[in-house]
Amino acid sequence: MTQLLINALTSACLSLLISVSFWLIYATTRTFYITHAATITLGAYSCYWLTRQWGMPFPIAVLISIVVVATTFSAIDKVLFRGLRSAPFGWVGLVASIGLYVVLQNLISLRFGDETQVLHTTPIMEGQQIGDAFVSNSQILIVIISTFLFAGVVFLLENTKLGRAIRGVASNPDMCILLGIDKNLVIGWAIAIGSGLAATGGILSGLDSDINPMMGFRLLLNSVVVMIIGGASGIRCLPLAAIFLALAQHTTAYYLDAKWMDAVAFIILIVYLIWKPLGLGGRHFKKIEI
Amino acid sequence: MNSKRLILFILILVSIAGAIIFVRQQPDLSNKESRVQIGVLFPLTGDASSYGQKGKKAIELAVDDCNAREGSAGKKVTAIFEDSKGNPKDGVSAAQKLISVDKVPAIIGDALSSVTLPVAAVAEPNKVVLISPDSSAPALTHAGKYIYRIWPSDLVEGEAAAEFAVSRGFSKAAIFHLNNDYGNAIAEIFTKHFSNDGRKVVFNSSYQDTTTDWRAIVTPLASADADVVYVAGYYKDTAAILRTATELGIKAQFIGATAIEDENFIKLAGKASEGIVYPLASGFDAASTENTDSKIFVEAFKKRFGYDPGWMEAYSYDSFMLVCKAIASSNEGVTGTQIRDYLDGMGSYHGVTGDIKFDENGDVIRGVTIKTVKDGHFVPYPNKP
Repeated sequence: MTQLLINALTSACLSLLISVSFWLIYATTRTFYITHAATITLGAYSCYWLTRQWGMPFPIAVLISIVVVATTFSAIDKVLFRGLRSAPFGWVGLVASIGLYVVLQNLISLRFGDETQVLHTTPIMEGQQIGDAFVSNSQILIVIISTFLFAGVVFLLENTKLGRAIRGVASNPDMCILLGIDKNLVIGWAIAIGSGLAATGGILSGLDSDINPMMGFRLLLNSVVVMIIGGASGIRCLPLAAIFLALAQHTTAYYLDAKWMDAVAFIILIVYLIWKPLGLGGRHFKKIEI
Repeated sequence: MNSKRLILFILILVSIAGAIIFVRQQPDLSNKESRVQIGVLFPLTGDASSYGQKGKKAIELAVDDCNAREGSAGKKVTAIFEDSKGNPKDGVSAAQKLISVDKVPAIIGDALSSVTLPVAAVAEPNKVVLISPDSSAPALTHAGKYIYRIWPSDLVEGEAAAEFAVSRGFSKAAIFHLNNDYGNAIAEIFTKHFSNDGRKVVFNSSYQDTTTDWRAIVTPLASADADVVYVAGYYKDTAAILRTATELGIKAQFIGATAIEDENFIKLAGKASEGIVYPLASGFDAASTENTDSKIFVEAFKKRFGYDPGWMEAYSYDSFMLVCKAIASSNEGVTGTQIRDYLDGMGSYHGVTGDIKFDENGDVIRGVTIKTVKDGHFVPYPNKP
């Protein structure tokens, strides 16, 4: 039982990290940004490439990967997506992001092959024993780093000028322009931070369960479910949603069968969309009619 | 206006005439050179690309050997590679292309049973011979008169794994199986042969290979109280399960499936792979072969591709050479039916994977040996307990 809780906590932390990174981009750009899956994968693969091909020490490789991925995707947004945001249909950004995802994922496959690769450099060994449960080092890393980064994002949003600007753009982009906030600059920062967090998530997941070109999409899928049941209007309820989803999935795998894990995630999603379409943290605002 | 129409009319006439002449010429061309094209269908990209790429190398070698040694009947044999992406839908459309556009008399493939089965349903009515190097789904036994394989059915593998568990005195087994034709079939056969005389399967779990959360899958095993664990899957998922089990402090004897013999398996599972036992259809082992043909094959392969071939390479090579033999034996045109008649009547063929002989269903008849992983290498399991 302890083992079940520890495992659920680990998955919850990982999907929390990725869902908050996705939220930063989704809330500011209003685009369902599928390319994020490639961001996750790219973070893990650049870390793999730097450590294996260039023999860099792991922590330095991680830092370089995060910075490179963050700046790359911020630049891609400036070149590719900024112009599309003023397109008459909201779908344009989504379609472009799917296209970019496919291109990037195939590039990764071409360069590194489709096979699973090993990211961790330490030998596989028995985890630390806590009661009757075993905890691996990668699990400890995931829990600590994800919690720390999530707290960092909350701090950023609540207490800094940039954070307030991000929340402003998320809630009312037109008003921000009237107040003299540079919308594109704020979006650029939100994408840089979101991509950096996603790269971290990819590396953490890679340390825990190896890397392959499809990994990003699978991680993103879970995290999007977390974001939707947490309520896309804010990030306060994301931890609750992440823990709820992870517990539901792990209990299913434990008592029923592991093949139902994905199904449970989507059943929960559907129930939420019917019963509480705005998610746990969602609120209806009164509209001012003129 | 009129002259424009006239020009257009002439252009259309010329193009139709050109097309007719082109189509007429096609058969003449192929007859003159007496070329025989063989379709090869492998997962060259995608999750299972590791098998496909290995098979492709072996077939490239086989094509050259075939033309040099066997193709004395004045025929030039070539291979047309198609990518099934390890996916039934893409496999079937690639096979349809091979059959209707390239008009091949025989197809080698696929590496995955889940693709070979639907492809067999396309090959059989078109009278095209399908030889799979390694498909092992029991359903393939009765897939048709044109369908062959040189790898034993899963019935043999699952039975051998269960026999091993029984002979080592294990009484409580746990099973993890991949939720597809392969995993489900061998898990079922293992269960059938293991559960008697007081032995039973105490835990049975199926998983999707798309998961990223292996801990959720392996955790229930810790409380299942099993002394032997049978993992019925491919090398990637078996490696992930072994790794997670080690991290969770589980110490039981693991039995894997034949598909784990892949150098990537040891890379992925690291130390956790030590001691896992698995059955392998007997006949090919690059390191310790006594068979002269195998030695020549290993030498030639190593010279050309720079590494020792494994079972996938050897079985792909033999599949192609069987078709090559059939083609060389024919004095007239090569058809699927002619190849089928040759395979049915040939008796025993001595290939690099040992003696190949088909039963009346197109299934190969061969034995199984038990192997294990020791110090990062796949070695025969020591027979002394």
